[in-house]
This record gives sequence, C-alpha cells and structure tokens, in this order.
Amino acid sequence: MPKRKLDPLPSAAFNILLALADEDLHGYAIMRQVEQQTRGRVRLGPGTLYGSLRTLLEASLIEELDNSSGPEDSAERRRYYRLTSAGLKLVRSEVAGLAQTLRVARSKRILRGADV
Amino acid sequence: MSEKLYQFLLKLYPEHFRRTYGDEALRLVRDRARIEKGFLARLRLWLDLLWDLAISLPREYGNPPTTRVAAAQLVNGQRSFQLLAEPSLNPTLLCLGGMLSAALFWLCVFVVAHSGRFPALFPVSLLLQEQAQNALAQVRYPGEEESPIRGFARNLAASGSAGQSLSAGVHAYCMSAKQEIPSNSAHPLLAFHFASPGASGVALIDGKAVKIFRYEQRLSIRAHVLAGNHQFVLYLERPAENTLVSSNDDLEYCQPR
Repeated sequence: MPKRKLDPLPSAAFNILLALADEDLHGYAIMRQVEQQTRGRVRLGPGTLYGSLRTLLEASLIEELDNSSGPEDSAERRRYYRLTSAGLKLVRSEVAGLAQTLRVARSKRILRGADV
Repeated sequence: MSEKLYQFLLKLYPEHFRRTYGDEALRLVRDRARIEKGFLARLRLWLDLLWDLAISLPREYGNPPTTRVAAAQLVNGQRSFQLLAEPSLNPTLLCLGGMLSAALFWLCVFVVAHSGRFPALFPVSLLLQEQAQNALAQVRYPGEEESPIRGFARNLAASGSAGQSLSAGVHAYCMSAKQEIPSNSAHPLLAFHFASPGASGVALIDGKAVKIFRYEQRLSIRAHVLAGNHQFVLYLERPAENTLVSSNDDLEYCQPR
C-alpha cells in the first residue's frame, strides 16, 4: 500500500528524503531544510509534512529515532527522523533520474542563465 | 492566537493523525509563528496553513494508516464484522469544514478580483509589470517624428473625453501638474472608462507602476505627483474599445513638441 503511494515519488516526499540525506532532523527542521534546499519554493505545511513522514515511515524509507538516540536537545521530546538504507537508495535513484533529465534539457538548450 | 486557531483547525483531521502528529503539528505552527512576525509574514503563514489544510485533509481521510483494523474477517469459519478503528466524522466538523471551504473560496475570489492590490502575491502581475517595462523601453519620445503614441496623446489632449479605441501595447504621454497632487486627492489623476469587458494592464507614472488592473471598466489612477511634467504610460494587454478619459483639474496634457 505505501509503495503505491510513493510511486511516483511525490515532490514533498522526495524533498524530505533529500533533507534527511546528511543528518537526522525533527519535523520543523525538515520543513526549514526543504525550504532552504528549494530556495523557498516549497514550504511544507504541517499536514503535508507529517502525512508524508507517516507514508515514508510505513514504507520503511525513514525511521523514527528513540529520544535517547536523538541529538542532545531531545529533552524537548521532538521526534527525530533518519533516512534508512532503502530511503537512501530511493533518493539516489530519483536524483540519478533527475540528473539524466537535466542532461537532456541541457543538450536541448532549454536552460538559460545560471542554470546552464 | 495563531496556535489557538490552528489547534481548532486540527480537529478537522482524522483522529489517527491528531493522536500521532497533533502535538508535533501544533509545535511546528508555534515555531513558525514565533519566527514569522509582521503582517506579511503572518499572512503568508496563514495562506500556507490554509493551503496545506486543503491539500492534506482529503489525503488523510483517503489514506488511513495501514495498521487499521480489518472491517471483516473470518472467525471459526464464519465471516464476522468488527468496528472500524476510525469513528465516523462528527457532523459538526463536517459543517465546519464546509463553511471553511466556502470562506476559503470567497477569499480566493476576492484576492483574485483585486489582484492589482496584492502584486507580491501574484507573479503574473509582476510579469505584467516586467512586460510593461520592456515595452516601455521601445517607446520613442519627443525629438522624433510623429508617432502613433504621440498622436494618441495629442488626440487625448484635444478631445479630453472622446471615445477612443486603444490598441494593445504601450500608450504614453506627457502630463503636467500645476501643483503638487497628493495620492489621497479627492479627484484621481486620471480616470478611464473602458467598454465591457474592461481592460487589463499596468499604469506607470515616471516609469513606476502605480496600478495593475484586470478587466476593470472604471479605472482610477491615484498617485502622489509633484508640480511639473510627468510621463504617464498605460500598458494594455489587449485592445480596449470606446475608451473615455478624464483628468484631475490640476493636471494638463503636455502639448506634443
């Protein structure tokens, strides 16, 4: 069931996986990281963020950390999330697909300015 | 305030979502509200939250968690039924959701209808401004031979209120203020009356956009201008038939040189 929800991978889920690629984050930090990595184009609201996190958890693409294993400020009882190896594999494959698309776009001279 | 309002809106989500992520969602809104202060930031926060609500609510109801109890299963070879893990939606909440949707719909209608007042929210309006600025760069001004633009200005100056057909594109002319005219003056600098269905475009004074309009039949241009000559530009997206124009008494059209 979750696999079907993630095929194709929704933009919000992809951005969350990407945000978690290099560090474990809690919900608010994920939202900020996604905003930063998309240059403010994507601001995840609570419904979208936690709905996507639930789907990713069900698909075992991310895992929730125990409070004890989270960063030191986990006294705040925030839930931290970590990318699993399956999640890393999926995000790599998505990025590879995007890179291929980008190569095609470049060869067709579709991009302009700084994006070239 | 934002937190309390969102706490109320959270009740619209299914119970499983609230139970698992309600506190986290509330904390996220609290964090954002603490950082994003000021009218515009708060407006953006609420637009985000309402948009998110509209997107995520149907998904949460349509995709319940996979741990949900099966509705029917075999017990001792007989099909037996169990209660669903999710209680049915409270009718009050359904009504509330309906009202909220209607309010959102009318809010969207209002904002779109007055898009000229909220240019920052409308990239299309900004695009229109850019289009006008680009077109403006191609305008030829005094010192050159008679051009359709100057012809329009002269006709406008001569007739004042004669119905004119305006083509799409830039219409530029010179106007001279006898004295300083404040933006809150009782009479607008210029008032246009476009035939139905109205006109869309941008009005610029001295290169600065002062009004973006969409399908407006009665267009009033108000701005603070100092005494002296000013360049007025009307950029129309599409032709406007039978246009009437009137101006403030303290404003005169400059004679084409």
